[in-house]
Amino acid sequence: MICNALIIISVSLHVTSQCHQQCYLSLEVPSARTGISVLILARCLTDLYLCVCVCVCVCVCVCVCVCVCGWQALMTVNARLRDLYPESDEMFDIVLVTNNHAQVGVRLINSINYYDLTIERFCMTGGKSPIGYLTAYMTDLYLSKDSKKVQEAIEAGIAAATMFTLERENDLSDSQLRVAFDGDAVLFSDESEIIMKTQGLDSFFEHEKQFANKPLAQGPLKCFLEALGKLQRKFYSKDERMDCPIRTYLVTARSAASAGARVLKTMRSWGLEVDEALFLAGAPKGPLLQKIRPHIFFDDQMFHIEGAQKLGTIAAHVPYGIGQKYHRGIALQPSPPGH
Amino acid sequence: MSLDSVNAATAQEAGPCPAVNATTNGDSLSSWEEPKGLYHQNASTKNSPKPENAVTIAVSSRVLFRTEKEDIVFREKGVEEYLNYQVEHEMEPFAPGPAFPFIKALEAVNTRLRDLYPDSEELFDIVLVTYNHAHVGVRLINTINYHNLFIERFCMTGGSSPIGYLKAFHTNLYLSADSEKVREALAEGIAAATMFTPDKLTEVSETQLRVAFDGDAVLFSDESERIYKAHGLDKFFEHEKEHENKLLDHGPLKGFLEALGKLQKKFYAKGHRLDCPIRTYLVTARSAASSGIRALKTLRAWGLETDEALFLAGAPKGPMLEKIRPHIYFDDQMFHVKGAAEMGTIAAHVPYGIAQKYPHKKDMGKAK
Repeated sequence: MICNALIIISVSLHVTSQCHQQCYLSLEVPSARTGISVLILARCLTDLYLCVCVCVCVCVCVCVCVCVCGWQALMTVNARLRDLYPESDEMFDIVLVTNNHAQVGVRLINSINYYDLTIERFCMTGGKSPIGYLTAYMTDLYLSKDSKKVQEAIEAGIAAATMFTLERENDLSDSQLRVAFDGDAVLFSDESEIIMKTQGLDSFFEHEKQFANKPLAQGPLKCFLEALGKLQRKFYSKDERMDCPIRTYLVTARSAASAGARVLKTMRSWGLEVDEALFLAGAPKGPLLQKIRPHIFFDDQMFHIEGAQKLGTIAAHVPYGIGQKYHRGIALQPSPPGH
Repeated sequence: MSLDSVNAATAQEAGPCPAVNATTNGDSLSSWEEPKGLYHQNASTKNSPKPENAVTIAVSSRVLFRTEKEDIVFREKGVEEYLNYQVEHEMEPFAPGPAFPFIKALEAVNTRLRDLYPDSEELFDIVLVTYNHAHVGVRLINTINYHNLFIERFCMTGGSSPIGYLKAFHTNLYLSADSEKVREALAEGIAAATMFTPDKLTEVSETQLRVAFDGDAVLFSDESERIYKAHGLDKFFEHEKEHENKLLDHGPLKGFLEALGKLQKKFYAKGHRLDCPIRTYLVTARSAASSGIRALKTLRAWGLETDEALFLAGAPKGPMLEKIRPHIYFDDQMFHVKGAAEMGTIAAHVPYGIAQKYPHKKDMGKAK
């Protein structure tokens, strides 16, 4: 009677650093029928993903196969922050936001307890859009499998990205959280990308050189990097820069000498930094991400996301900017909802 | 492809682009070359080639430029002070380092390759790989632009090992000041060598790239050198004569010579053998009659050639190299590297093989 229906739960990850020094991670659960990957974010002092596949079989016992990406890294960061700042209450709190009804909530709670996660806040919206709640929580990052909701969130000014089920498992660091970002249309606005797509590479280089000292406008994920940076500085101020358990990467297709200075100067003017900056001048990102092995990689172009996934990197798509409409000169078809 | 559809482009949104056949390469910048109707593509635009097509040279910032002052700040005052120092001196370009002439010569070769083969991606590609943090990036970019170099790929690893990235870039040669990293790279199968800052930089050609290689333990494996060190010169000669027709095993820099050879053949194919902008030299302490044949036969079997081959039978290499004036000379023995450097040659040490454990007699006092 009940075939192996899998429930898909998308997790919205929110990192809030303004609301009472608390960070909220929201988990969103649409009522889908087929195939699930559940990302449950546990309480942590930084971002972390727990991918949980929930299989519902006949006897309604929940077999959960957990793909833990970064759980250990999270715990390590927590432990180290507590060591350094035992009195600090800069913590992350996870809110599970689900479209589903209360019945599914019970199953979720059972799963959460089974895996020993600490998720104490739930929002079961019974079909309504969760975006309003995200704004109320002053969410800094929202992850979901539903690209429509992600787009809504971005339009509402919340950093968001669409996640996908990973076919390959990756062997990620347990002791260091690694987050990789694309540059244009992720950390920065897509203004330069528009010039490139409409006027070509040379105009793009000229424009960037001309405006090398004018900071770029910010992109959807700038605030998330800011939040990570704040935590990193807590380690730096205790002289642990070389040993910091959070590591950020900029992986951009920009060329260094022709267009790189503006990027670095923009970040400096925002008071932000990344630990590693890779300017690829168009080389494929996949192999480099494979070496970095980030817990998550944000990019605005599906082309790069797919390239990264092929080599086993967990990549999240940021549906923002001109990269959604055109790639390689071809107008893109809008991707089906809940990709 | 017409321009009409493009005229409708507004400030916010580009008009629909005509459909083109997308190629299956992996870089996003190439998309701008396809719809030629949309914008003008300058012939002088230099796009970076794809890593697998190009001969990729990864160079560290410390060998490309002279950074002694900054290294001292880093060692004495720590990371934070070092980063502040770099940011303060951002507008001051670094002075050229030992690898600088080599890189300049590579670009000269690229220019000629582009003239002959404008659509080919078989060029030299230079990647700057540095331990530095992104803060220092601006100063590096300013320096590169000041010296008119064309280095578009950066890996600023902020303290972690860059060796993983080398493989991802299909690196053909890695030059660094840090011999530990070079050893790591060699262990991963990437040709690598340690460069040192010489006291004086001799003038080298700006139009012809000259690369000189030692033979044993650089182009070839160190098997013969082992025999020499263990059993002496006579045994070595006997062994080489006996195994004249047995190929030597390949050494760490064989792949790089191969890559150079490929590019040289592109010039030969267009009738430029005599004024080819790449010239390779074999400078070996082997004796020609007694042990030279095996070396030459091995090269032939690999389909490789060097333009010049100097068999020195133990004579010092310094004076020869001074005449050759290579942009870089690879040797596995520090004794030879130092000898060359004393006479102004840019020499790089390949820390491979038995010579690292049993250095040249004159170097015994400094054995590792």
